[in-house]
Amino acid sequence: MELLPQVILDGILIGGIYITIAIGFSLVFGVMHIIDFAVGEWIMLGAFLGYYLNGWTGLDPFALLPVVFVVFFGIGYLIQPAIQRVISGHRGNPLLMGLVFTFGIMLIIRGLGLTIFGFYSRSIPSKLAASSWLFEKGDFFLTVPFVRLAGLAFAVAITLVLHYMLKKTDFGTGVRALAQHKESAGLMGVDSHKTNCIIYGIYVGISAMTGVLVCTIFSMTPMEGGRYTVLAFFVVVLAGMGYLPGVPWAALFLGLIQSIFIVYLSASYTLLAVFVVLYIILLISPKGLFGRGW
Amino acid sequence: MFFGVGAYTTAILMKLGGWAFILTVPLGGLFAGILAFFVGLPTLRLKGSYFAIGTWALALALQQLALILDITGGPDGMRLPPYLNPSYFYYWMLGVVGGTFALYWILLEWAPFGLKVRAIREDQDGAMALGINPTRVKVQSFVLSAVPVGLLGSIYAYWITFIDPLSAFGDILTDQAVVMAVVGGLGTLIGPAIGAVIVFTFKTLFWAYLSDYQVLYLIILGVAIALTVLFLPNGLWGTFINYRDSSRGMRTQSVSRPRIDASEHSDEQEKGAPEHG
Amino acid sequence: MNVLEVDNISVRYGDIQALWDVGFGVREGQLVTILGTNGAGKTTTLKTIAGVLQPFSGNVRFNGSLISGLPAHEVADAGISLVPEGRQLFPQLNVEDNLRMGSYLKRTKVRRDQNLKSVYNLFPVLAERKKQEAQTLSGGEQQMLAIGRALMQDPKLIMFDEPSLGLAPILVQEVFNIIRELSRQGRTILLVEQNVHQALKISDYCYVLENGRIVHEGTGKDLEQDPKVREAYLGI
Ligand SMILES: Nc1ncnc2c1ncn2[C@@H]1O[C@H](COP(=O)(O)OP(=O)(O)OP(=O)(O)O)[C@@H](O)[C@H]1O
Ligand SMILES: [Mg+2]
Repeated sequence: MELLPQVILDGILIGGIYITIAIGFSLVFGVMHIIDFAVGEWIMLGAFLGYYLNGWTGLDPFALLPVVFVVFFGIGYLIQPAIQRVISGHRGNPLLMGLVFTFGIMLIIRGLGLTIFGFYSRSIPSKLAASSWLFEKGDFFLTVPFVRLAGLAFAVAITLVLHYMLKKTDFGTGVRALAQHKESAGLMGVDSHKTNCIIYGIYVGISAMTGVLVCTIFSMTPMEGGRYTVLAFFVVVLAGMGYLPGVPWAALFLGLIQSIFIVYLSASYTLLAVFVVLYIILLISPKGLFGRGW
Repeated sequence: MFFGVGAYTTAILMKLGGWAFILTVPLGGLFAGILAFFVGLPTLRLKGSYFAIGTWALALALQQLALILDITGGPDGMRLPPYLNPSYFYYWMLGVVGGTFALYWILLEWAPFGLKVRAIREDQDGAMALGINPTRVKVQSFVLSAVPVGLLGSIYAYWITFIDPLSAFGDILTDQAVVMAVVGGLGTLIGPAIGAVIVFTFKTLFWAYLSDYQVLYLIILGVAIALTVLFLPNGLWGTFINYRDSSRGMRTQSVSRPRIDASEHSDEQEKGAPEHG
Repeated sequence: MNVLEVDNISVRYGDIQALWDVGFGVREGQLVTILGTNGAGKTTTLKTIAGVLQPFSGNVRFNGSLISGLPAHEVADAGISLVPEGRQLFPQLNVEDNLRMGSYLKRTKVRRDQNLKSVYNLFPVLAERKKQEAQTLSGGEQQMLAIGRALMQDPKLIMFDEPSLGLAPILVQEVFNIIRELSRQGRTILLVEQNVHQALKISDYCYVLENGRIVHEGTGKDLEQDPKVREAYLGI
């Protein structure tokens, strides 16, 4: 039996999730130079909101995504000024202090998550989870689980929406202008404060929606946020810090590596393997796969 | 992370190799230094400080490794024969900490190395123009900072006589964050030391009295870090220094000139003020 | 009546004070120039008017209403544009997107197509390079783009900070021609220059800034005759 096609397909499907894990994170770094340590915790919180909403309303998790987005957009919008305060002003090392601050936020969220949700692992049931496509042709066969495919579709959709927003709308041009030259953007009438809040809201919203997906496809515990923070970081470094167009490719690349390792080596080595790959790439090209990072 | 490397070096060598403790300690430091070199090489070339996450990710990878390997005992960890003499370890600790301080002090204050470090911190491009290779100096400093941590890890392993992946690789980031909150991003020799003392004291007290409330610990620590960073841009230590300096300045001022414009300007301006008035 | 009224502003960067009680006015339709050597505080003055910096004392009024204290994007909305020193374009946006950023504000968005057309008329070279990234333009083209971007903002007052800096003599001439032309069209202009001859020739009124204080003022002709100014700035 030929395994490779299935391995590649699984890699792409996993990579899809990695796109949504990392894309908002990269956007936020590109625009306002914040590395948010709490990215995994937003994913975790989103997962739990999805879980409880699903319990109360019985709606399919995919139908709940907009609600989750709106709630977390609001949270991100409100919390951004605090982070902005930390990274601006006369500080020795704003980037590092932003990191430390969001690390504090991460501890708080994790602690509260454990208090409220307990240590158990949850997962959200979806009608899509039951079914999958099966291709068969003699020796060759391929399974495509519907939920994972839906996850990939969601990732592609998010990528396209962000692309459209940044390239085709005035707001998006303003965001790019702000990222490239803050002072001039202000002179052109860009309200950097408000724009930063909106971008941060979008990022937190996307991360929370990703959590719902993860919790539907896999499962989630309040302890698990850190894992996704590492993944987001890996993808973004691989893509080049703040280089948004690199994110989808880096995410797919990482998904493939992981899927290859799971099948041909051992699942317990994946994190190590990914780390080694990242190490080698950084050694060769410090600005990521495309050499376009920060 | 380097702590964990030191700890596992001692544990493995003592338990599986039958080595004497004294011999394992320098090796713990050596391995930590070697690891720091290989980690620092790619990550320290990047501008900015996100290599902090890089080291954290590596710590996770090492933790993973310790969990799956046989010689580390996997998730069960390793138990060492107890050596019940706490004061013995106090002397070791004291020796390492004192030695480290003396070495750093000489290197940073007296040797050319200190000048290079300062040049890079002030102005990386300028330092490069002077022929200083910033990556090399950064890697050297990184290795220098890793070795003592590895030594302490070695000592810790034999002191506590039990290590597992969680205790060896689990908390480094938290500790770093607390230290950063205390020093607030300025690079002084004394700041991180104070940070480390606070971390150590806090942890010891916590484990002694509050170990049933781990989750609460997370929340309290998180709130403390976030609030400190938010409201004390120079960290606890820097704020303390500023406060001390400004209260001194105030006292001398208030004799000659009771009305002081207490906005953001420094002592110099306040002292200069009477000449205008 | 003065459109722009700068009333004894003092500005500092941290502990360093850059402006000391600087006050002046610009009338509707006038071209007013601020002269001064390097580090005199010219850029600081313009940035303070534009809302990039805030004065710690004194204030700025525009059309009678207080604008000091407002953030830059609100000052822009009030109708003041700055062509900053060193162009300060958005390096990785293309020429057209840079210009479109000029009409980011609702107030100006309605006239975007019209303004775009007239900017391309004024600077045909920009139309040719529409899709090129701003950072790939030559210095002269970048200056055209910076001016075009400001014109897209439909400004009631347009401020130029050393627009001739770093340009070849023939381009310097062209930049001054453009400014003179804009002035003829009745626009209100505040110009900062070190190219004293040229600036004095085209301006209605001048101020000389030294070490953060205004030390001379007068019409272009007056200053050209003033022996002190001649010695210090004209090298005669
Ligand atoms: N960001 C800053 N931080 C500290 N001091 C500054 C800053 N910007 C300007 N200054 C100081 O303020 C004073 C005025 O500077 P400014 O840029 O306004 O001068 P200028 O007249 O525009 O000079 P130039 O002709 O060289 O552009 C100078 O002494 C300068 O050193
Ligand atoms: Mg200037």
